[in-house]
Amino acid sequence: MIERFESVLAGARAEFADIEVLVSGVRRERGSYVLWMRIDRPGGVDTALCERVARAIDRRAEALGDAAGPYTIEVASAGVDRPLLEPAHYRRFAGREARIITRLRIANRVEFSGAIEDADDARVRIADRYAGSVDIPYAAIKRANLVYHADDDLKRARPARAKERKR
Amino acid sequence: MAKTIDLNCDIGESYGAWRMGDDAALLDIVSSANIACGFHAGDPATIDATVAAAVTRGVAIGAHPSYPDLAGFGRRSMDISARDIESAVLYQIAALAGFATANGGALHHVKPHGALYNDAGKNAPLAAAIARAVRRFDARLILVGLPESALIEAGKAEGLTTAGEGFCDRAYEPDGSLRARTQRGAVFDDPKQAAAQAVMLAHSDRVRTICIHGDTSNAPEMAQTVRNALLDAGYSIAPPELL
Repeated sequence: MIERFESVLAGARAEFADIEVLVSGVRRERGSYVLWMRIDRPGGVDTALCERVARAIDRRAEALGDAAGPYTIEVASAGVDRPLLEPAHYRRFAGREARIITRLRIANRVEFSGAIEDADDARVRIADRYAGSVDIPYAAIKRANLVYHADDDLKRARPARAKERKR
Repeated sequence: MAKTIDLNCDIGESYGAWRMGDDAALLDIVSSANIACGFHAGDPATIDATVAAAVTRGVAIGAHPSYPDLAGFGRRSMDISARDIESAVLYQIAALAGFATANGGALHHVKPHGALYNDAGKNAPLAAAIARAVRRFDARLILVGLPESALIEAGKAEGLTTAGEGFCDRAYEPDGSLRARTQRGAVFDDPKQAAAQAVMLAHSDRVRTICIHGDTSNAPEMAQTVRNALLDAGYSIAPPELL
């Protein structure tokens, strides 16, 4: 059954050309299946998009008939602190601040924060605020995500509001 | 959540002009490397280059200390006092750690080599001497040994994190010890046989890391087959986590 639900997720994902699925899967929880997906989209994800994706999954899961049994659907945004899971993610967010936790000590540290300077197929270079420019092989990374600064959003938002007041 | 298993390999076992194993190919496949510290193999230049290659690839660096036995490749038991073994192991760990730091990495674990590994599995005073050397150098290092062996018990007694090791390319005796290399059928040369044993070992709660040997002619092919079999069985491959 899990495989059939996974093909449901793959089908639903194909309906949306502009969304990126970071991770998705099927798990068992209290006797029912949970079909879950974390998505991102250039310009951001809102609840309306999550609903549309969830409905597309639901339509396809319904089509499996009664044999599928009870299931729930969870569609969530990747979040402002979205995870960085593959080289392409680091390349796309070059210049943005990331936080990387490593399994191994590199330059005697396991935690790095700073701007993503460069990323190739084997390693990412991060401008850590303490250790300086450090190359981190992907194999050594335990988890990594973008760092969200509410201040930056406010800075972007304030001039717009000021303009409105002038009018 | 998929279970994580570590794939380790003994490397850096060249000495001077003498070459041993295809280290570069193996480092692309494994998640941990046990690097010879100069007592059974590994000259300073080899250690330096091997550590640098491991750091670049994000492979966990382990010290692979041995009896002082270059000619015997560390495969012969030696009657050395526990006190001297403690110092000899400390010396080797410190050497490896020095190269790791100089190359921007850090030492991650310690796994004794050859006869020292086998002897420490059964000889409690010897095992205690090794565990003490590790703890005195850095209590955060992981000590690798045969599950439930004297070495693992000694590591626990010293408060170290330990990792039970399984061998995918070696035959086991019914008591859980490794069949001596001098016996027939002790080392598998069929990658499929090693892959099947690796998956079986990974299922065991006692095994946190699986060793693949680098001293056979088809070592990289064998390692790749084992890695693929573990991934197909749903495991993710990564070194044990530090404290």
